[in-house]
Amino acid sequence: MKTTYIYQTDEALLALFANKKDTEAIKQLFDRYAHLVFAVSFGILEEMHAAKLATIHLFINIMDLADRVAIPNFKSWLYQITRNHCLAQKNLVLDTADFLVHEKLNNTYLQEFEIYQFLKQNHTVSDSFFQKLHSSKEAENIAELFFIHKKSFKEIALLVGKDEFSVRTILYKYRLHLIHEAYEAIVHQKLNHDVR
Amino acid sequence: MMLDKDIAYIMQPSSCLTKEQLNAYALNALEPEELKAVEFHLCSCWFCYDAAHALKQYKIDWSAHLDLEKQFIDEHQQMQNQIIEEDVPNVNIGKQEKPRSFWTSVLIFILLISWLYIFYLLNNTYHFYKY
Repeated sequence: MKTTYIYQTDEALLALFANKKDTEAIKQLFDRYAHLVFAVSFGILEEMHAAKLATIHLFINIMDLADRVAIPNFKSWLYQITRNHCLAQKNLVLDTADFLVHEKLNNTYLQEFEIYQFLKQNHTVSDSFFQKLHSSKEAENIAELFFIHKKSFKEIALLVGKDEFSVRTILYKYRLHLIHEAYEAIVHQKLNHDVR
Repeated sequence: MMLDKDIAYIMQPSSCLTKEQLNAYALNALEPEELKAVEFHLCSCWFCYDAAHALKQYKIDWSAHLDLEKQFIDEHQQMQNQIIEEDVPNVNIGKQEKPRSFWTSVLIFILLISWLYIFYLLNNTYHFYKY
């Protein structure tokens, strides 16, 4: 496998396959995500062989769709189609709440990227910039334990009397909250800058 | 109170879990440092979290079952062969001429020589009667 493919983004690899039918590009995507697709499928289908087949069929479908469908965020799209494919196999249908979560995920990935770019370009952002960010006391405590005191999910779960899944969900929501707040602050600051 | 450097750290992008990391996480076999990195990523990625959560429930070493790449290549090859077979036009090209064998050519040559010889003889006989 060519080493240059390792540094390419998912979307660039997909474009390479769509435009030039470069199978090395699709192999690289397969290398990056096949195990995740397999594990998610396994979680839903609860059967090793069915999960393997689902993974292979999903990637073959991707090859078919690559030049016909515009995919701005490959990872979250892949997650969505994996879940949909497996739930459809089990004759289950995604409810609207799930769709909303996935819509939110798509937006979050894009916003996260923009915030990261902003932070990289503006090294002199003052501490006060993020002071407006507020969240629940419990979420802040858990976030502090995890991000600052470097405790594991298990340790935090024991400390706060919750299970690991809840701890992770709180951390995820806290991070999401930060992203939205920071994104709004950045957009606001950009608007002010443009007005001046 | 979190400072902006902490928040910048929280928003740091991290790459998705590898096959080995996912397997080790499911089996609770990660070193503390690596566990930290894995859990940090799980906080931001639903895809990896869903995958890790699904495998952790079963706690089986599934890495041996992941010969997916080979299967994918086989299946892809099979699919391409099918496409090629479908693409070949099934046209009736009629009766094909078989290539002439060596002995047939020799036989034709002998027949031709003998025919010419007979013709020559007949011609000479005609002249003989004439005179």
